[in-house]
Amino acid sequence: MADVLTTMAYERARSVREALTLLAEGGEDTRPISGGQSLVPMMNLGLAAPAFLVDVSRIPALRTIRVEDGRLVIGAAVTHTELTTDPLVAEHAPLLAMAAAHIGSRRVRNRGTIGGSVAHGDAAAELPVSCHVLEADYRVESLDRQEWRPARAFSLGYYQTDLAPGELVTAVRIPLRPRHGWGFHEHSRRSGDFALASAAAGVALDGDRISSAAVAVTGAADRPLRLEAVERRLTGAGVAEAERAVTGLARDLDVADDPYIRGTDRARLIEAMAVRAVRDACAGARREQA
Amino acid sequence: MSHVETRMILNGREVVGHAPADTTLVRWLREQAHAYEVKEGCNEGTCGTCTVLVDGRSATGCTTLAVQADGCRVETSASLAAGDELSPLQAKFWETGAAQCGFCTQGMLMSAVELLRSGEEVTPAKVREHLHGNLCRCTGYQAIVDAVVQAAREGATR
Repeated sequence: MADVLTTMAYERARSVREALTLLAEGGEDTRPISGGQSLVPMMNLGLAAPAFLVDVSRIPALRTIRVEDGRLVIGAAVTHTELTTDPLVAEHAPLLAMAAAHIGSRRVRNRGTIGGSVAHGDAAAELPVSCHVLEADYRVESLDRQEWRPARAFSLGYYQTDLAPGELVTAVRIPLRPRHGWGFHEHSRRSGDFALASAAAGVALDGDRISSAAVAVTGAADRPLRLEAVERRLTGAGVAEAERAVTGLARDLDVADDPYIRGTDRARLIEAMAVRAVRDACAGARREQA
Repeated sequence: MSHVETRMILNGREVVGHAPADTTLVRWLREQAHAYEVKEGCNEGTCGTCTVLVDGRSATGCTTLAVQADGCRVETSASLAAGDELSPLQAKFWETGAAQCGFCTQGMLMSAVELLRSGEEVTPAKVREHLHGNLCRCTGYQAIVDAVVQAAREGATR
């Protein structure tokens, strides 16, 4: 903060290559910054004190959204507001637009980015849980390599992600899944606050039967949780039975108490959000059939 | 080397400042540009009183570093009035009693300006959605919602 003596350095990278070089040379306590909507509050609260910030928010290659080889590829510095308004996202990954609309306030969405959200690894965040359902991959680059890492293995715990120093998330890619319906619901005590529970769902129908289902929730663990047992119950079930396939989920969850809410209450909230998300996804898939 | 030169077009006028790189935009605006209309509140992005427009989009001055707004157009509530004449939105705030202590007002105004300029239909629900995260501890919000809806009805954009 301005009233204490600081020597934090800052560079705005003009290209991914330059960013990776700066991150590699910066050493420990070097952090990339994009929107800064998690990092700057943490700096203000004294929870983070980076020695060197590499700003990646204006790198043109990280600001694009395009369809490539049957996948939607979203640059890491695309903002949440852009996710809620972009026509390609609306067509190919509407779940991301639904989820992004729940993030913070308009001001936070204007600056916060998809790459920042997935790299930050907040267990309650909206985009990582959606990326689990979408079976997204994250492109991780460093000076000596570039690879795609699956979203489902990327979260390692509270604020822990599979990122080493010098590595940068540069894109999120999502397989195109036409004729799916999607749903996202969350519950927070105040609008814009971190959710106590959220659920994301995707469903495809074959006539009146669910031919594939993906459901993931937050609030149940230290990272997004895919509900494989629920997905198995949903697959092959009729649309009318979808809610019943999710009901009872709370009993199967083992959620710890915390100072804000009892674990059993949070589990019931998670179930309620999952029911709503699946209901919306089924309704969306029906519209796709029409 | 610990001070960074940052330039912004603040309310149409170029401002240059020198501050440590971790200086937040709200601090920079107050201490380097003397834009005291911008208030510093919670410092974690939840109260909204430091809301300004950066290249036309609302941003929270306490969760944005000044260096990140380098080269950008920044607008504060001081841009709204023409001399002593209130802008149409400000006049509605006055008429409806949407400002009491005034601490939240500049942030409310700038969030509302973003909505008014968006071209979206401005309903009470839309105002509540757009202004959520701008906290007011005096008015109970209804007067603020009324002010923005009435301003939109008259075609106001500032």
